[in-house]
Amino acid sequence: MPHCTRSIAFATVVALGGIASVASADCGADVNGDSIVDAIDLGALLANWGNAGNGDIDGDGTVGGNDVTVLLASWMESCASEPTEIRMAAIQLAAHPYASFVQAFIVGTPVSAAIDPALTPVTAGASADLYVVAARSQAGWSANRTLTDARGAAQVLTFAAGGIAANRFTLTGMNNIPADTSLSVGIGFDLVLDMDRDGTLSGGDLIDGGGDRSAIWWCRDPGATGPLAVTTLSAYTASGATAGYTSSRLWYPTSIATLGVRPLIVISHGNGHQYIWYDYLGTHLASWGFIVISHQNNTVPGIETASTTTLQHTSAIIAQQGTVAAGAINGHLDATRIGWVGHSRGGEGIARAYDRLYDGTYVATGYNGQSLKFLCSIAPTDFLGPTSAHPHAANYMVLWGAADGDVSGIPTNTVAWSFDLSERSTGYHNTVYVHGADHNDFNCCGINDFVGPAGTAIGNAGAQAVAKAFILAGMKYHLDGETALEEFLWRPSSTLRPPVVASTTTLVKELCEQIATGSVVIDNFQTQTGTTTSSSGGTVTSTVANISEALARDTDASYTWSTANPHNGSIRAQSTDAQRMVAWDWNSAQSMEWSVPVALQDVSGRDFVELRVGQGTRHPNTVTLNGDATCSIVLRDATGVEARVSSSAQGEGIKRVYQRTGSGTGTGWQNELRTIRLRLRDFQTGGTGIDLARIAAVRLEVGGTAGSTTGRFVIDDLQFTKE
Amino acid sequence: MTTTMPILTLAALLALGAAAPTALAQVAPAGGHEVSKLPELPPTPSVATVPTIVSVQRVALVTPYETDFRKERPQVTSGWLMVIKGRADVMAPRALAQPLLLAGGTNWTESVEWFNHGHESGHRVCFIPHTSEASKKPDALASLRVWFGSAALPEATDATMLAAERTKADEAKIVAKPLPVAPSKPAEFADREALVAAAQSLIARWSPDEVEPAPAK
Repeated sequence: MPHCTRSIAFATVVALGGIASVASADCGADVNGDSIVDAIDLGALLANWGNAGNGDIDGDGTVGGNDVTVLLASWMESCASEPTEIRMAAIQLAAHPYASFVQAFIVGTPVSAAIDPALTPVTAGASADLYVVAARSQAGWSANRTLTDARGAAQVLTFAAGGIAANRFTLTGMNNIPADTSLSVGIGFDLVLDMDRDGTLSGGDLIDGGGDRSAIWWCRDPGATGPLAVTTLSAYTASGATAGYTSSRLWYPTSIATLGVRPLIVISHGNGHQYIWYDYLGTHLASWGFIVISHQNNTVPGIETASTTTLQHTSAIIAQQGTVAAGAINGHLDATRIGWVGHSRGGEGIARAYDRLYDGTYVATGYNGQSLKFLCSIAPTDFLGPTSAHPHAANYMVLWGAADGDVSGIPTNTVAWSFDLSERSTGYHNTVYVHGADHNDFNCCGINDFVGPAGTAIGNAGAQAVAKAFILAGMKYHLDGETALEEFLWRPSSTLRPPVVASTTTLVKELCEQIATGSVVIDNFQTQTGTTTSSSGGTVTSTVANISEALARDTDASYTWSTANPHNGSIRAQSTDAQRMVAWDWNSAQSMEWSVPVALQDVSGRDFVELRVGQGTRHPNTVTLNGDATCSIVLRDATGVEARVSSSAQGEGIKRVYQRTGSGTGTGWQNELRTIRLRLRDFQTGGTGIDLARIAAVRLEVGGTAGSTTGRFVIDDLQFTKE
Repeated sequence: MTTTMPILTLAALLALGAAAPTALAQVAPAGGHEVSKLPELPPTPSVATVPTIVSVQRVALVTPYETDFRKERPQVTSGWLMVIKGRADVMAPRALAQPLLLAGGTNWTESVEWFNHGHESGHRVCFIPHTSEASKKPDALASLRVWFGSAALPEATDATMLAAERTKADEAKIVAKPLPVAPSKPAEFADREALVAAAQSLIARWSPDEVEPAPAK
């Protein structure tokens, strides 16, 4: 009898090419060729009883009793010649889809493995051994199939009758994994479910992380001090910098001599700030292996001059590495991996500096635009507008406090609209909006500018904890290529919170990858500007109220709700910007549905459906809701099969906006968008049968059983993306 | 009767002690909403926000430089090094636009450079660059007025804006205050770096809270 060689039927399960193994079942019994011997095969056999052909397992020319015997002998055995790649590492959810498949876990927090019997046939009552194996590449697995559990011993799992909710297993013994002391925030592990319990990875086994991806990133707190001692040079003079702005402070790992070459991070302060006010950040980043400087910044004249000092100081430390700190960093500074952090005017300054490198109006000594791997602007101003305050395709992050009393987001002054810059980004970009943080919480010593509800201030310590964690995450991800950190940039805090960040601190996060290769954009509202056609050309239908597709711009200089200003609270585009969004409200069960053009319907190679969504501030419905909002996303395939997942599937709703007053009547500050990423796999949970290769429509449902009974949303960037 | 303020040499300026700081006023919480201690910016230009000139000295530079406080970036070889005393709410550093610091006399207006903010001490060290022939004249100080203009970035300030600011100052009835004649022999500095060093010495005297540590020599 030939062994099964056919591909596995469901889209999210792929065979592992290149890992040789041997199947155990008689795969002639796999009558329908789906790699598992089960009732479907028995049914097919019985349907052909007494005839030749389908079900004639023993090859005697007739389907008969012996064929049944052979089939039952292989009952529920796998015919896969190779182990099967599935997602198992998960956090448990209280409601459908019951598990969220993720990679990053903070050391000490629960890790689960989840199996959906509807997608991965397992036998109730059967047992298998779960191994947590130090991460191997695909080549590593091909070379070594022996299973060694990093916890000390494998864990026996016994499958239960029922769906995924009954087959979620908390991993035991994770705390037996030795503490990591490397420069990496996370260490990787693969999960193997050894179905035949032979201690090796073989056909029929299940693996999460069989390719070059790890199943689990076991992460230390990115907001906690890193493993390295830090040496500080309190001040040095940068040659060639503008007179009066030549001083800079340097932090580097004391053991730099043993670390090879390490990336450079440059901190550029804001107006009225001092270069010595960022010790918390310089020390933190250096403790994780970076070489960091903070320099005097010429911010008083404006942004152009600030950008010049950033550019100058970056060149200076590269050129002077042989002499600064007695040459301690000489030869260890990697000028091809540079990160810039700018605060306030300095935050806009770094975007302008990058823009000058990008458009060629400034030629730097010792590095170029390609060297800039990550830019982080903390509460940046927007004096220069879209022609010059532009991060282009750089990896970019905006970190901003909702209680900022300076770059406040006040609707009367577009200079105070930090998210203009992130909206202009055409590259990988993310934002972190921090409730209760003010402008100068991100340095040690600036004027207390807090504006917000009494009792919500998180102070310097709270804001700086956020800054340390997320700036390090960005730097590690973009400068060191440490993929463990990416989930920190978009997952809700309810499931992935750096422990140093207080549990009471509200963070609202966006991640935008719409330019990334592999994304399928359904509607970004930039073209086809009517409300009945998406930017991808599909038909849009809706039953929602007061729909408006327009520039993401509050047009009446007040946060007071007005029907004449449907994008009230959106402060993400100056009049010469292009960023558009849609906004609408509801008071009952309503929806908006995007048909997917045929050419885009195959999303089986994507991992997520995602969008950015926030509540419309001070709208009467928002005021009535007075809390986090929820909705549901529904996918429908070309045959009419539908599957739905709640927006809160990842553990968090759409946040109530910061309850700040001022700029008109009412309560609530700017519209806060968060990225909702729902794994397409979640739409298949429970055997919905939806065909991800033919998704005909995406629908956002609100009210009724789908989510909050009332509210108003602003929405952007509906798309399918890859992990 | 008119009063005049003596023109001091740099050494004399350094010998003076800083005046008592005028710290930012704290704003009381209102209605359960905590509010900023960053003070509201008062309307400028206005007579109420005109600073007092504490001292001024004419200086010359051997090596010219381009001023960052003008869009046209004109070359500068001389000017007046000055200390002013002003209101904290006007001088408090902000990320958003602050009032331009302007100086003018007969037929000239300059965008004044400043080296510190002075919101805590009340004192700001600044430099009036000579970018026009009129401002370079020895008697230019006779009609000098210094004021805070519209909120804007100095680097975006061009001749047209300066003319507009001069008109606004006239409309606000900001007038020149009597000043003595500048010394006939200016202090001479090699370049802008030396000018900055002199300014930093003044900051150490007049606004010590804003001194930033410098590298050890």
